[in-house]
Amino acid sequence: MLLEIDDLRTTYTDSSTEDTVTAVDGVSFQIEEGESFGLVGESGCGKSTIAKSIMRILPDNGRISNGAVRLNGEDLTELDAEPMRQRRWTDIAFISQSAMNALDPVYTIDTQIKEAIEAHESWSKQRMDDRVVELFELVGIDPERRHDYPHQFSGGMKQRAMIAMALVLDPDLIIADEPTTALDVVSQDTILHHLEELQTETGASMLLITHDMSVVAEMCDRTAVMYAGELAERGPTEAIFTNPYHPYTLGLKNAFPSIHGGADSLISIPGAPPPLTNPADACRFADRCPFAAPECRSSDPPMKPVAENHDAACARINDVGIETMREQAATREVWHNVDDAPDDASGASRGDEAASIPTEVSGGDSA
Amino acid sequence: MTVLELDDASKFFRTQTGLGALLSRDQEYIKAVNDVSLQLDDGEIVGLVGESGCGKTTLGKVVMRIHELTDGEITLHGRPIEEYGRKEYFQEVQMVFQDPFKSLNPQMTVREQLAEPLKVHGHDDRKARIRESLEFANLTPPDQYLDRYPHEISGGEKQRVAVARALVLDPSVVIADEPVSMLDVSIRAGVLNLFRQLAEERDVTILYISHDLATVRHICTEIAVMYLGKVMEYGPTEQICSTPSHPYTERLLSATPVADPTQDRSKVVYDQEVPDPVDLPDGCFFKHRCEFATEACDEEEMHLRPPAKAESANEDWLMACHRAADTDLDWETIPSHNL
Repeated sequence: MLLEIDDLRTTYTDSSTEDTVTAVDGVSFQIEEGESFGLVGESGCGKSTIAKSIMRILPDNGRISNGAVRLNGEDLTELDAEPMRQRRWTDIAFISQSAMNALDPVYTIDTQIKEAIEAHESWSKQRMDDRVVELFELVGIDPERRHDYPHQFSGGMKQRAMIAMALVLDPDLIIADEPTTALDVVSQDTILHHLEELQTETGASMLLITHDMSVVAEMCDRTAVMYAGELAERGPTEAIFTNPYHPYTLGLKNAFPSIHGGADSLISIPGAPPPLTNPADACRFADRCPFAAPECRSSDPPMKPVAENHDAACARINDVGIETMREQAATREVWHNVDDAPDDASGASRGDEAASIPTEVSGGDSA
Repeated sequence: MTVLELDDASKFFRTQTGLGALLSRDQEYIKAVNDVSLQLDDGEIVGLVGESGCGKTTLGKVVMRIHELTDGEITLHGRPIEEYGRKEYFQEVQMVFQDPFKSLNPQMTVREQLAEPLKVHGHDDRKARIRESLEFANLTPPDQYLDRYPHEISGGEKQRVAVARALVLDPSVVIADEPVSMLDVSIRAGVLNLFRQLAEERDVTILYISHDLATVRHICTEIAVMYLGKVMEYGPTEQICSTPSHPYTERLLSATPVADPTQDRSKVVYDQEVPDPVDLPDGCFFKHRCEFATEACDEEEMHLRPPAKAESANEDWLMACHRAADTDLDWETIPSHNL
């Protein structure tokens, strides 16, 4: 077991109102060595907060209030600042959506990568140079161009250079948070291929965070679907796509346009996620769920095994029957009778809350 | 009936502007849009797809008259767009932008956002039009939304308000530039269906600009694939998606991720970088990245023409590739076709 996230709870506090937002609420999952694990969810569901909690790079108002993050058995949440700094880059690499904007415009790429090495290791000049050349080849950029400045690279190349930089010290875990969201499909395709290749070659594990289900389908061995700070479903990627159990996953499948298959009209999920300030003890998807029963509003269902290595947090699977659930979830009427309002029944209340939530509630995922 | 027609439309930008342009002898140009011809009928949704930097957004801006044409002609209802007065033109052509978080004025209520264009154009029946427009955009009942500010509604609703605002003048053309890429998947579908409804029920012509072929496929009747300012392939959506014939279209399709983990992605192509749009190569622009490139591609400029293959010949289907003349083009050998 490389990474073990155990009942993680991360909160943000608004300094002016003292309101607390529970961005991640009791999330657990594990990543094996060499495995690639996908975390999908909508903006504001807490997926990036998980990445930041693992890296311990939360903003000042963010706090891990419960749970553990174990890397090779060692709890990262307990570490002091200096040992934690040593873990970053050496053991865990982080590639963010805007990574390409993190390059310093006044230094060459080569200088910046070497600076990162020097912060952690004392390698000879030759060794550093060899390593940079090797990595440029791995991410498919002509090594001659390592002496270029960032403005001489295209967006896709910058992102690839950042990947090279993140991997320079051979980390055990790569966390990629929307690594291709700002790029077009062709650059995305190239980068995903390189990531996959690098991962196989180095034997590193990967946590891939994205809102794009098709990226996860292509890249990951196992997948967790996240909704409003909690995991809705977790299992082998193939099972999540072919035999989903949670109504939210079923809904996402309907809403997702595909390049293949029939051009049926897509079905959206009515409503919007609930505010994460003082969440009630209830299923967070209940207000948008066509299968919700009174019990869903009185207690928050825990993750339960539904198949081999496959868990879902839904209390209604047995009562409704999964076959019936899947059948009904494929029809538009079922979803759009939940509420008459088109998009967002709780719009006003959500909007008001959104204004007071300190971080990342809206507009996160762009393309 | 043809509503909007682009005839060899081109837009070049100077690489130097201001004093630099006056002093330098050799003015260079970025050929952002290069001889593009499209025909949009009423109620048609034409998708404009391509990588970033291919000129698709510039083309949208040219039609919006944000940029002036360098060469060629664009006609609306048969009349060149320059002949229209500004007000008259924007009565007919409206736009929906990518980011509803930015395109709505945060200090105006929904009612004010929708009333603004009506005031500018001097319409008296504002109340009725605003209501009708909101209802069409599925923001019902309108009373619930009229007095809210953008921060009080969700992202999906914001984009619906943006669509309603574009509709309030009852335009015949709507240009939508990546209108759903900022929205979450679960609400994206609703906005996409709204565009479809707009074309089907109100006969609005939509130019839908996006790099995401999967969403384009869902709502567009025709697709134009752009690369370095030129249209590479143009035809009915199904034709383009199921039997892509231009190598670039194939590349785009095979790069689009598929939400099906059982599918094997065996095709791996590492792309050469795109040529510099200031210094375009002779012949086909795609030849450096093309696995089918021949000597002919170096010299001969490729023009759009229908593929020769008999049973697939379709008048509306055009491609700019020497392979168009190839009658033996074997669809089965095309990797993305076997997916």
